[in-house]
Amino acid sequence: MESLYISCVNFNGFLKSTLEKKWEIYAPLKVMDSIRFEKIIDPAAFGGIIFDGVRTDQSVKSFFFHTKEIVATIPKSSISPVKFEKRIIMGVKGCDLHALKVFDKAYYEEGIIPEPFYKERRESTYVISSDCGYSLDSCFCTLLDSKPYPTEGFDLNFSTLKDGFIVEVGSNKGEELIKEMGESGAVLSDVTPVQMEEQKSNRDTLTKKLEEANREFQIPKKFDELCKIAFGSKIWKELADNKCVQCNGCLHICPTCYCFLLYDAKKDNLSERVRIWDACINAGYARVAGGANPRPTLQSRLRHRFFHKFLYFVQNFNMYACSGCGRCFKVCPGKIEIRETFRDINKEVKVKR
Amino acid sequence: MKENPYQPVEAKLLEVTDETPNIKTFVVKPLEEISFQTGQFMELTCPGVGEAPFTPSSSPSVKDKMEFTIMKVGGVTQTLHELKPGAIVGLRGPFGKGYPLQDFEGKEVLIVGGGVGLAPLRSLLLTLLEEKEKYKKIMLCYGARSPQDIVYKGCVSGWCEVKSSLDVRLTVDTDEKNERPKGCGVGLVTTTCDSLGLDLKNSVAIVCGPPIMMKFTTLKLLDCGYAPQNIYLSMEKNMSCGLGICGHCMLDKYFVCKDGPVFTYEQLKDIPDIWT
Ligand SMILES: Cc1cc2nc3c(=O)[nH]c(=O)nc-3n(C[C@H](O)[C@H](O)[C@H](O)COP(=O)(O)OP(=O)(O)OC[C@H]3O[C@@H](n4cnc5c(N)ncnc54)[C@H](O)[C@@H]3O)c2cc1C
Ligand code: SF4
Ligand code: FES
Repeated sequence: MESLYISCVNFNGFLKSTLEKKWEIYAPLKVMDSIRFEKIIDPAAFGGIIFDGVRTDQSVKSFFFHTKEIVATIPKSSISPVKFEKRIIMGVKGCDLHALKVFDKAYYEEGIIPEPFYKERRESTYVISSDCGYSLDSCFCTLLDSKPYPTEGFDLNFSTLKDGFIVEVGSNKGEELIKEMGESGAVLSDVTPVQMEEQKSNRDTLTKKLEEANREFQIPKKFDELCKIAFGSKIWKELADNKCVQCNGCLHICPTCYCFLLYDAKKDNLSERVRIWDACINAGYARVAGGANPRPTLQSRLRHRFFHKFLYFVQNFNMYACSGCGRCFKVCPGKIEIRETFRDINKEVKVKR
Repeated sequence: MKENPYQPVEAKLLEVTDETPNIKTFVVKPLEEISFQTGQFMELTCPGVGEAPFTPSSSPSVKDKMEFTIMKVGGVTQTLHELKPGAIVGLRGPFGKGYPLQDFEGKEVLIVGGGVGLAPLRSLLLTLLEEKEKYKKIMLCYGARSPQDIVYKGCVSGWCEVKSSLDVRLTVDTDEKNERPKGCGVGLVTTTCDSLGLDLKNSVAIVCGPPIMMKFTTLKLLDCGYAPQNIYLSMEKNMSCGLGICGHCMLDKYFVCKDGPVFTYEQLKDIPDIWT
């Protein structure tokens, strides 16, 4: 992978040129005590962009998969997703890139056709990811064999150094951006061994710290292997009875939850087909004709949530549909923790033997 | 975006036939031709109300029209039942895999239906009968709750007439007023699977009906000696997109809308709780 160095001043110059060309730019900014993706419309905001922070509070999925949108009408009218000239999302973290990969699998490969709304947005968007500068207690990417710095799935990746960035080029779209940078007058230079060393040491330090913090959750069995023997576990009932209040928070904040529901509504003389986010935790999600329900209990639905992410997706795509971002735990009023759940299941199977 | 997979094609309702007090057959004419394979399903839209999956009950060889036999159970189906000829509905599809007809060739084909589950099986049966020389034998076992609940009353007796190639067994769960047609037994559909007189080593069984019927029929067929890979089951799951994306129809790692809706019991037998 090609690596280059760009100074902050030069990069900001490039950003300014993109704004002048009316590209849409989104980047992590600090809003109150949270880090959120915000639209950048003024160069004055450049200084506030956080590249070396941690994952944003909202995940990156809503850029590609809108909470609610009209996807068709009867009679037919020209519904098609808005075409963006160019859109850059910056500061995307490794975990959200993993989640985008899950979406790519589900929306490009799993279905009988590539999902066109997702595809258009994905193709018109440039993703500039960046290494995490620190981690949160809830982060567990390392437990899922990921790293707190992007290794794949980006167009460009930024590793923050003292007064600039190491820029890794990860795709043809990344190459395009490098070319645009050059055209904007920004100077890119070769990465020096000292800069390389700084990047490596930052990455190693944080990875070690994360591994250390997650040591208590380390279990010998892989999560998919555990699921295979956990269908009848009593854990699901415990989560259902004592923790989950069915608020849907986890599923909305989850960067990989990709389910949706279509419904039709009358509007004037049209019947509009609306697509909204949906989630398997909802009682009506799997209900069929006349009220029969294959997952009537909350415990069976919670189990499905875990199994889809950690078993079925692995069987279909050989990867977890979980990024280890820990957002679900942060929002959950019942404090349901994925790491803890697996640790408990592991304990339960050990006791049983 | 070339094609919008959420956009239905408009279709005109031509004819509505009452089958039973809560089941009607609808003949619709899509405004653009839609071709399908028997066993594939469509998403049918009632504009402004909603969309639901149904398998055409007509043969794919009829190109310009499609028939659906639909039981009134809730929101969408209730509205459908109120529609009059001339109404406009929407159709998306076809979705899923059709019945693997080539696997049935040269075999004795047993079709077991319960209630409105006969709808997709009627399409299959009509298709098989169009080329009946390809199959060694075709046998239909159909069970309804009561004589009133038998669908395709006219046709069923018609099918009985093509006796040489089709063996029909009918049964009703109960018949208090003694109204059942000639030759129809009383008892659960599983009773029709007793002494089938089929060469089970060279036979396939295709089952469609309510979950409880599917469960007991499968157990019965296994008991008779059918191998799990020769039992074909139509799995009804909640469906939204039909495209294999929205997640609603998941059954273990499968997406019923694209991997099914027909599965062999071999594919399903190790999945816990498949009958609920
Ligand atoms: C592949 C397939 C083929 C089918 N073929 C036939 C057929 O030929 N004839 C027939 O009578 N029935 C058939 N069904 C069942 C039919 O789809 C349901 O009866 C119908 O969806 C019920 O809709 P409703 O709004 O009237 O019911 P309701 O009970 O009012 O539905 C309530 C809610 O549950 C949801 N729901 C219920 N059932 C389903 C479902 N199956 N898929 C998605 N959402 C659902 C809907 O979101 C709806 O809003 C088939 C089902 C499948 C999966
Ligand atoms: S956030 Fe917690 S309480 Fe809310 S639905 Fe998810 S698991 Fe249940
Ligand atoms: S109905 Fe949407 S995935 Fe099957």
